[in-house]
Amino acid sequence: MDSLEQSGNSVTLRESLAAHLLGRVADTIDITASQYERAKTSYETVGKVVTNSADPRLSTAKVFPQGSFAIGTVIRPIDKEDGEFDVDLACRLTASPHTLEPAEAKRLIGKQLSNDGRYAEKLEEKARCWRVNYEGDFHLDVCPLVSAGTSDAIPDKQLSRWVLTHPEAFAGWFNVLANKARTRVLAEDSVMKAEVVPFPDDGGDKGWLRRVVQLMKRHRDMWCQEAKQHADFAPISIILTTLAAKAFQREAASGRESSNPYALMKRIITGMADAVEQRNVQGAIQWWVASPVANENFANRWNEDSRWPLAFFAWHQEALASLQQLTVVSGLDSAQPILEKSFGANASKKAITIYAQDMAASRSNGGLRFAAAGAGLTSAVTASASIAVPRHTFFGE
Amino acid sequence: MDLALQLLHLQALQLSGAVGQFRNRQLVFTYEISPTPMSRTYRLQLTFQQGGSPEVRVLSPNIAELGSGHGTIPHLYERAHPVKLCLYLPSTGEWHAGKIIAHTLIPWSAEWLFYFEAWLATGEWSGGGEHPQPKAEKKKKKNNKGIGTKV
Repeated sequence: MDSLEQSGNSVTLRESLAAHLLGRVADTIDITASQYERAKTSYETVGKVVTNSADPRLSTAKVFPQGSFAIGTVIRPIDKEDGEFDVDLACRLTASPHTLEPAEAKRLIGKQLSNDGRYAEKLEEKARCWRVNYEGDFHLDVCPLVSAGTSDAIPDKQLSRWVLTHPEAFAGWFNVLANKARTRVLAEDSVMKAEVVPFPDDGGDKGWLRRVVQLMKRHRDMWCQEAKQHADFAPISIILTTLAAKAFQREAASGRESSNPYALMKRIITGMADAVEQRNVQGAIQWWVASPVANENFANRWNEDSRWPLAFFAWHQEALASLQQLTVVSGLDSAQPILEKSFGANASKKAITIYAQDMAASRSNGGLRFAAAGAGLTSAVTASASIAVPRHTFFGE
Repeated sequence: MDLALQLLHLQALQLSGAVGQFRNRQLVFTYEISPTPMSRTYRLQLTFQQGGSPEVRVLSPNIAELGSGHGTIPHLYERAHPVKLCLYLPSTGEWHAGKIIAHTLIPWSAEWLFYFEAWLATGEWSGGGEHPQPKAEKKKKKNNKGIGTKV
């Protein structure tokens, strides 16, 4: 049941194109496949270096990614589009939190790395981890971790004690949901020959949940630059990620058709505010963004300073407004400032350029169609009357 | 192909705002196009004389005004409003009298408008194309390397 086909509904077509452009933006703010591979190779090597020790706490340790790298939501930094991206690694030492102090755990890891000629130069000490710098590419933050029963534990910022954490469980929970958020994976061929959707994009392998998280993180980064009064209280990434995933979870459970990516994105983003809880804890109302895998409140700081929830809801309103504005523009050039404000000038222009280049490529390989009453220029055959656009060359001054 | 047949094909497109008439042995066809669902709606006019070359102008909005401040608008024969679009390479067979205008110039005009909006947004013309060279020049110069180039 595809309304695009039946009614040529211009609102749905606009939304479909908006989703397509947002998908292109997500592509540009993501890391490339080869960057991902390089980071992966690096952390596997770092793992070997850390465990190359007679100390059994290290020799049986495990180095694994946590955070955005583990769930496919890494984005480039805004200040420098070619700047280094973050890869958070956990190094789980085989030791008990009762017998190994956080500071000592950190020292053990640092010693392994600094003793290796390859890393001595690249090493930078951070509060509770060691940063391995791959100049101009990425950096690996290696953080000590120990197992504490069914949970893990990492050092607090002062390196004074261990605090419970659940990186693998969280990643597992998120990835299961994120993999459900892939709509049809459309191969190039099918798009140009037979598919009805004129703007053939879904989250691809990543799926729309990951893309929404990436887009929202970048949106927040841009928003912080403008809304300076909120900048220090901008929603942290774990909160954005958790809320988006919970919103999607509710959406998936509702049984609603998710083949319209724009509608899906809109429902996820809208649902992020709904997923913020207010709990009555011993007579006091508390803000909760509950960890899905432990009894932990990612928003505990919101209950210490109300500027946190204030900033979150201000940001959220902006995010929804931007999404909405994209569907009422008249002219792609009017979409550009909205995308720029939300995601950055570079991402905005690249996304539109890629869209235009794809159109040109379709024409070159004979796949460009023009549907007068409906989607206009597309690279897909639509049910409404469309004609093939013959190859030609623009001319003139 | 005679004018009447060209007009039939044009009318078969069922374009919004389509009006076709014959004036002084010339076909004048006015139509509206929106190249993408997020694009403006443009009003264009095609004129074609038997034995001549079809011409397309943009009646509204004012392309020259839209483009002002963005640099020289690529691929126009005439820059004053209503601008005249360059949609094909002359004398190459991309267009000839046996071709159906409705299946060539009309979709090409949609494309021009699309690349125009993208050019306003990004400063790049991604639709490819060529410029007429001064007689001394033998090499063809591409306007940009749009197709297939990494961003």
